Amino acid sequence: MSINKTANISNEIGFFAHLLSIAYSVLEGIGEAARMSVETFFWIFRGKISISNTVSQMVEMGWRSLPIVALTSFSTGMVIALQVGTATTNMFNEPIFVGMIMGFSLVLELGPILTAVVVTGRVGAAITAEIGTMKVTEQIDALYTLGTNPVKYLAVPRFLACLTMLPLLTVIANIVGMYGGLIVTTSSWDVTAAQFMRDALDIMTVKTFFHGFIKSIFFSLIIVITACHKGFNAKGGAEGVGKATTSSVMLSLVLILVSDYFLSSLLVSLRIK
Amino acid sequence: MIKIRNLSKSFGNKRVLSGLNFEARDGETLVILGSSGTGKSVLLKSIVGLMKPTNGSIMINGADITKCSSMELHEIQKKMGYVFQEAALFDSLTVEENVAFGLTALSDLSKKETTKRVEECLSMVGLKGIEKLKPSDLSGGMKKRVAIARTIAYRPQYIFYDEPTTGLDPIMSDVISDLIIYLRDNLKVTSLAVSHDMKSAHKIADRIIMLYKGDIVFEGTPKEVDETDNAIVRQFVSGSSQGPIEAERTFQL
Ligand SMILES: Nc1ncnc2c1ncn2[C@@H]1O[C@H](COP(=O)(O)OP(=O)(O)OP(=O)(O)O)[C@@H](O)[C@H]1O
Ligand SMILES: [Mg+2]
Repeated sequence: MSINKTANISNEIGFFAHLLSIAYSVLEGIGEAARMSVETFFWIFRGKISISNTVSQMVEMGWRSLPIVALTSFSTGMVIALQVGTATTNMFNEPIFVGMIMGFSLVLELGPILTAVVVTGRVGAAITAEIGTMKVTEQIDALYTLGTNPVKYLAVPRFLACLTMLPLLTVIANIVGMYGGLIVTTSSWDVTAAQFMRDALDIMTVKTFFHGFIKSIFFSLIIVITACHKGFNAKGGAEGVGKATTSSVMLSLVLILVSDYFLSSLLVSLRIK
Repeated sequence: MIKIRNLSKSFGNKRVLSGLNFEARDGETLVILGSSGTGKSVLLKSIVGLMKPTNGSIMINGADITKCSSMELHEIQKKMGYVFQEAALFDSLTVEENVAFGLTALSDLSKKETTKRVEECLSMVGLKGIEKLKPSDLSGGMKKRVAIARTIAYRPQYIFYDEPTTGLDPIMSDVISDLIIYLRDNLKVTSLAVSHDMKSAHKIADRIIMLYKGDIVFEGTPKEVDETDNAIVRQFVSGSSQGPIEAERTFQL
């Protein structure tokens, strides 16, 4: 009986110790990511930026992501128009509010979120895999011995590229998505393009635009900081790089989707809506 | 001058180095021997600041790199070059860009001088006409030599070679041994070289130290290595499977 009890207690201690160690490693991860971000800002403010590296990262992240981002938002725009148009036709015998609903949902939510999700899968994964591979093959160590700070050389260009390209891609996604909706609406129902656009633009203000724009800037920080952090901390060969990449993408997606609600409510309470 | 005092390093409960003491004088080549897994790479990495030792001090030119700020460390690191055991070439860059990397980061040579130096260093390690190739297009031995070229390109005062001749054919490994001697005699480079290649070790070393189970069990000139009656050293040098160093295995002949 007493042996049982001791076993129980030590089980419980084991469980709490386990929880504590998880909490500790989470906090440690946050700390390390924060330190890396601070270091990144430090290099940026000192103006130690490699222009050529940054530009090639911008091309890689921005230009090469454009087709998939455009395709995603174009088809999303089309399907929203179809669904909203059909639903409103069922209720009111004509499609109403299609432009308005599309404009709001794209600019406020779907544009920023879908673009961030696509870019996480494409760019975030690539960043983690590349930096992680460099880590496990000692290329990061080699950078150090050759007098080059790895954060300055690897993180700064990616940081700047992501920070500028994601918002830009989001704006493009919004426009392409609206165009997809416009094509479906004008071809399925008796709505003119001018009417559709007027519907969409009438109630939107600069603040509506900023709501989405600010969020996409925030998402870009999540993506690039998570990806670089996971890359720099990869260990254990090819398997380790694989794990780092998976957890980078998962963590990034979770952070984006969860923070979206809180960020939106903050922006709404600040009257940026 | 590199002065190591009481250097120890553990990974968790596993003790790899336990209290090493030795020196490398200016302009000499010190060869480090030791069986696989005794911590030779760990030792070199600690000296260049890639790993933090658990205890002890590492004095380079009079400054303790385990205690100085990261700015000071950076200044000292500029004078050091490291040849990685697995080459560690940047695989997104060409051979030329790899060799030029340290030059661009650490010196202010013009573009033309850089190209010339890169060519010069590559031909010193017996490689020509591979400037535009990527590391993935090279053989293991070629990678190793590019790594050596990358390190000597910016003329560091201290060079740390982790097995410079492993994976090279006998002739090439003699060329690299000659190169290490050339750098010592002409550029007054101080080198620490980890080696399993006894012929090369013999040729390049001014002094040899032997690591065994985290400690230095022998220190002396190549001649003293030949004459020692230290059983561990004798076994290692002769490369026999019988002796005080137990080769862990599951069969006996
Ligand atoms: N990052 C690390 N984490 C945990 N253990 C490590 C780490 N690096 C090295 N070790 C351990 O330290 C010991 C010494 O490793 P090291 O790479 O220095 O061996 P070595 O003497 O260079 O061997 P070799 O001649 O085969 O290259 C090994 O037992 C290794 O398992
Ligand atoms: Mg080694």
